[in-house]
Amino acid sequence: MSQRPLESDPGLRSDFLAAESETPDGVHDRARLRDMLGARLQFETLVARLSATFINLLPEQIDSQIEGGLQQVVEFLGIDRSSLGQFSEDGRELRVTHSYTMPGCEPFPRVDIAPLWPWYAEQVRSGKPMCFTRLPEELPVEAEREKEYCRQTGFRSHLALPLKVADRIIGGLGFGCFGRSYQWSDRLVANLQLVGEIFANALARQRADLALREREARFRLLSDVAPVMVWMSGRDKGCTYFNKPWLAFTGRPLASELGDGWSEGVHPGDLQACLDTYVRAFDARQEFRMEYRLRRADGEYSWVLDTGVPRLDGDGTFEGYIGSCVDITEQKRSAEETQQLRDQLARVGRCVTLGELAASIAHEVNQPLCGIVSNAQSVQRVLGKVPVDMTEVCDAVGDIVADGQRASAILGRIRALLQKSTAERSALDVDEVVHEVCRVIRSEALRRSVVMTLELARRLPRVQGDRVQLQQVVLNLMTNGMDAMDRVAPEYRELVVRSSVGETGNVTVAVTDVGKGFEGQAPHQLFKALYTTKPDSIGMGLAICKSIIDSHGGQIWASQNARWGATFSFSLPCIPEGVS
Amino acid sequence: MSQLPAAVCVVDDDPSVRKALERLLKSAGFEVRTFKTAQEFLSEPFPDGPTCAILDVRLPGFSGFDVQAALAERHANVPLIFITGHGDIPMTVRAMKAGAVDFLPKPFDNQALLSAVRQAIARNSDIREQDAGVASVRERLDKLSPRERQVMELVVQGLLNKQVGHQLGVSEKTVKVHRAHAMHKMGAQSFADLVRMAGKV
Repeated sequence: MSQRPLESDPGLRSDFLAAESETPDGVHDRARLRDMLGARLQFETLVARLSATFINLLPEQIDSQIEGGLQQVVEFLGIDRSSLGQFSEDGRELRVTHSYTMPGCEPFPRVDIAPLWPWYAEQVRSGKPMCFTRLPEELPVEAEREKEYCRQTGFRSHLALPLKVADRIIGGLGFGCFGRSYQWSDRLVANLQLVGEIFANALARQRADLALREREARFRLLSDVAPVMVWMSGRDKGCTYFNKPWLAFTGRPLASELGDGWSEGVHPGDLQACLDTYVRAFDARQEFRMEYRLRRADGEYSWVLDTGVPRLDGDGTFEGYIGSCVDITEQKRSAEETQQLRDQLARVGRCVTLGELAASIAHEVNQPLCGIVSNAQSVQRVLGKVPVDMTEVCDAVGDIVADGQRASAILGRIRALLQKSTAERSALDVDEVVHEVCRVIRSEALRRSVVMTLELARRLPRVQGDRVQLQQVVLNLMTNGMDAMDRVAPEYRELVVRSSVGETGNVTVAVTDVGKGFEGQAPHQLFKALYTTKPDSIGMGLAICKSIIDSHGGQIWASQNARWGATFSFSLPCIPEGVS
Repeated sequence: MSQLPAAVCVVDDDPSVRKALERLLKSAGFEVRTFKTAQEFLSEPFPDGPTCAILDVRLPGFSGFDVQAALAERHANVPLIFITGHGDIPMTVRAMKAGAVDFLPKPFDNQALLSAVRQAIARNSDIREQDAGVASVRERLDKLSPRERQVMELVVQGLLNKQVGHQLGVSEKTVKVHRAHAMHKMGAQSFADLVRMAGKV
């Protein structure tokens, strides 16, 4: 017997597929038996091929493949149509989403069939398979509408299988014939259930993919309307996403920014530190914050504050980082401006203080000048006597030179206090600062009969600060101390300056006087601007000191002594060990 | 005239000034003693010979005026010359009224300073001489007997011998004898001398 093409004989095919349930003995024709087994094999091959195809499908290919699959089954079995329907999200609607109908036959309606055929829909919903060979007789009494449909269209046979994904009914798969009965054998039903599973899995994947795309779309929408720049990076540290605000800021296309491309926009001076911070945090899976300059679309650099956090997927697996950047140019500029204003204010304060010291400074310069004039006159006299006493001349001239240099040094110190240059921070020894101030103020102390006592700790740790500004603070505190002692009997006037190291690694300087104390004022009031007890003082001195110490990250305070007078102190943080 | 050399005391806290002054004064033939503070100056015995002091008004602890007052209190005979880097008119007036020889600004002119020093030394010498003179008169007075003293006192007032005798209740002759003894003991060469000596004490 030759291999008859099975496609031409639908009845035979179904018989063949039904053969499983019958004993081979019931089939007398050997050729027929061979054909039946062959048909079975062919169908199982079809199902196997479908299964293989569906494994590697991309979500966008699923729909057309399902339809193609339905067509293959319809044609192979010789039935009239096959349809796949799915429930809506809320489970109320049931609609056909995929189908194949033999040309000339009535297709399954594409409307919501739940209101149309409630009994049928309910059956599908409850996951009960339906197998009808003769319609409408086999329908139960309550299936009124369904019966009506069958009578009207001549729909005769129908197989409906539930589609399940993880025990959830997502819809149904139906096969049907018009005008003839079709035997749905157990073997056939089993195979078609397999096909249903294949389709159900594919649809589940499709839904998951859709949900994912929707989430991503929502994320992108949110991220694009956010006022901050957002970026994401993958496990290899390279960046995988930048939102619209970022791209608008840099003016570069996404392709240029991905991977490590974004780092091309970072200011060269900040790049190394930026990468170091990112890599270090990344390797430790830590959050990080960093500031750097990023180039804008117009070519200028702006300061941004970049914050990144590690992101984990649902299982807690590390996926990479997500972060945001905010433009902090304004803040930076404000901070710079504020610091500049502080520095200017400090300088004005210095000028005022130096003005107050003018008399004693003049006196101090006058001393070496006096020596110079007198010695020069002496030299003139000696040169006029014959023989000239050259030793005397040399001695005198030597003294003139020394006095000239001395006067110059005094003025140099004053000039340093008046300089206009922007504040410079360097590592300072606070004891040195105190000594320098004592040199400037020595003359004034003498004039006022104030004894200056220094009790300085040796080998103080260094602090980071502006030398001139810190000198100003010490100068101010010391002149205040002297002012406070104006009414004290001259023989008792003493100013003590102490330096020490605190437990927390701060360096503290305390200036103690034996003057009139606070006279009832609360200590913190003293540091307010325009506070003064002196008739001809503006009252900015202590406020400026506070401003300077604040900008150095330190503290300044005042306390009344147990017996007489007050102590004004300030502390500054030390430079930590190992930092150059 | 004193045989002892003139010594000038320099009191200034500034080393340049002290050195320059020392150089100047030594070259003018004076002995010089230098002091950093007023306390130092006041705690040491003053030079025996003619002396004066140059001081800055502004000194640690003491001001120049305090020194002036201290010297006055001790009845010490040390004329003062003030030098200062920041003098003003009230200060000058005050210093001069308290008896300073001169008040010079810094930087000073060498000649002006030497001139002031010489003036001060001269004043000091005069006073010393005067003091010396008074001392010797007193010494001699002590050697007179009470009667000789009485006679001398009345005689220098312009009383005649007769009137003195009448006042004291002795004869004119006795008065003449006492008067002669007194003149001899006092070392007076003439009556006018005696009157002058009497005027000193």
